[in-house]
Amino acid sequence: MTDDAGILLDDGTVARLGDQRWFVTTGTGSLDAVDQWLRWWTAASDRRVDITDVTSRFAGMNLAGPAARDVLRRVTDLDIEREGLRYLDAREARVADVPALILRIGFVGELAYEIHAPADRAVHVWDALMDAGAEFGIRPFGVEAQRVLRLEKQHAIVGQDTDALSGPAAAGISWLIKGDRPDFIGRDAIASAARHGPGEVLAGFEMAGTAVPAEGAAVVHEGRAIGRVTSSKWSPQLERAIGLAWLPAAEAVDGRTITVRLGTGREGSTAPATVRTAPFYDPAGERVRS
Amino acid sequence: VTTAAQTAVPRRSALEGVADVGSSALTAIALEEAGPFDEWVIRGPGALPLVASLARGSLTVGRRSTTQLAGETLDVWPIAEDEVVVATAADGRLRDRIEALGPDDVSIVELTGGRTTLRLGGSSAGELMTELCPVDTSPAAVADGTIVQAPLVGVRAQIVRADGAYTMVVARDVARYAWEAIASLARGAGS
Repeated sequence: MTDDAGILLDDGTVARLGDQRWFVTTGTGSLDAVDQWLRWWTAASDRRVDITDVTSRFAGMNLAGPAARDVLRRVTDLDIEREGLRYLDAREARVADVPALILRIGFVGELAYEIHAPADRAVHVWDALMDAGAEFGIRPFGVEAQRVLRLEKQHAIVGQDTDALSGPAAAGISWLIKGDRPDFIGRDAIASAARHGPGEVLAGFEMAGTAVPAEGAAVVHEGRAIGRVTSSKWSPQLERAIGLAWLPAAEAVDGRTITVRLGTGREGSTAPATVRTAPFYDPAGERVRS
Repeated sequence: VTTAAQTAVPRRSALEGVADVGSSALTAIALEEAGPFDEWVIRGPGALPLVASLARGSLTVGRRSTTQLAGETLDVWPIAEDEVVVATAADGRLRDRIEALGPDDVSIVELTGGRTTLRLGGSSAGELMTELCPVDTSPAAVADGTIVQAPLVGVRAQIVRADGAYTMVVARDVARYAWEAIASLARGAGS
C-alpha cells in the first residue's frame, strides 16, 4: 500500500472472498493507520465501501515448513494440493471443523498457510494442528525466529527497513506493483521514480566474520557514512551474520564489498561485508511455491 | 469472512482463567461476563430501516433495545443511521436469517467471538464507573438504554446502563486487561 507520493505505507495482504468482499491484513503496528487511510479515501469518494475492523474476531496462525501441506491435509477437507490451492490463493474452509480462512502465503520462505480462525475457537484449531503435526516434529515458532527467517529471504518490514521516503522500487519490491492497472494511489509517483531510478536502494549483505552489526549501524566509506543497516541477525541456517541496509544505488551491486560499523553512531569498530541482492535462502522461491 | 456453517466445537471465553472479582465482602459490586453472543454489524444507508422492520417497531439511534426474531431474543444496538449491531445468545440459530437479510444497500459482517460483554452491577457500580470511564454515565447525564461510546479503563467500549447495572462491550483482545483493571479497581472500592 502506497500513498500519493508513492511511499510505502504498509505491507499487508488482500484476499478477494467474493464479488464485493475483501479480507485485508496489515502489519502489526499499522492497523490504525491503514484503517484511517482506507476510511479517508472512502469518505472522499461516492463509492459505497463498508470497512469493519475484525482484528479481534480472528486469530491468525502461520503453518509453515516442508510438511505444512501434510499437516493441513489431516485437518481440512479443502483441496490444498499444489494446483488446488496455489500460491497466493485464498479459500474459506473448515479447519478442524471450525470455519476459517486459509491463505496460501507466508513470510518465512517456506511452503506456508496462514489460517485465520474465529478467536473463540482458535485454541481448538491450534491444538488440532499441533496434534496433526506431531509425527512431523511440528514446533511453535515466534517472532524472533520469524525475523531471522524473513531476513534470509530478504523480506523487508515496512517501518523497520523502510522510512518515510521509501518507495517500492528502492525497497526492492517493485515486482509487487501492478503497473498495468489503470489507476491506484501513488501510481504516477511510482512510475516517475522508476523512470529516474532510486538514489538509494535496500540491499542484503552478509558479514565476512561472525560479528552481527547493530540495527541502525552505519555503512561507511573512507570514514563517512554512506548507508545504514536496518535489520541484522545471525542466521543459524546459513551460519553467518546477514542483514539489510540502505546503500547508494552504485554500491548495491551483488558481490560488492562494503564496510559496516558494528556499533551505532560513531561507536564501534568496522568489519567488511558483501552485498547480496538475491535472497540468501531459496533465491528462486521454489519452496514457497512447492 | 462468513462462518455460516455450524460447528460443534465449543467456544472459549477470552476471560478463561481470570481471577474472580474478589472476596464475598464486595457484594456492593458484581462483575460478570455476559454471553457469549452471536453478533453482526449491519452497515449502509438501509441498516436502520432494515433492522427496524425486523423489530416491528421504531428504533432510535443511540438507544439499545431488544426484539424477537424467530422466537429468539435479538439485542439491537443502533450506533448510527447506517450502523446497527445485533447480538443474540441463540448460538448459531439466527445466523442464516441474519446473513440472508442483506439487500444491496447494506453489508453484514459477523463479529461473533470478536467482542466480550461484561456486566457491572451492585449498589456501588455507579460510583465505580466514575473511576472506570471519563464520560459521565450516571442517570443525571444519560437515560437508561443510551449507548455511550467511551474509553473504559483506557480501551474503546460501548456502554449501556439500565436499572443501575452497566453492560460494557469491549474487543476480545483487550477483554482480559479490561476485566483485570475493573476487578482491581473494584477491590479497591470495596476495601
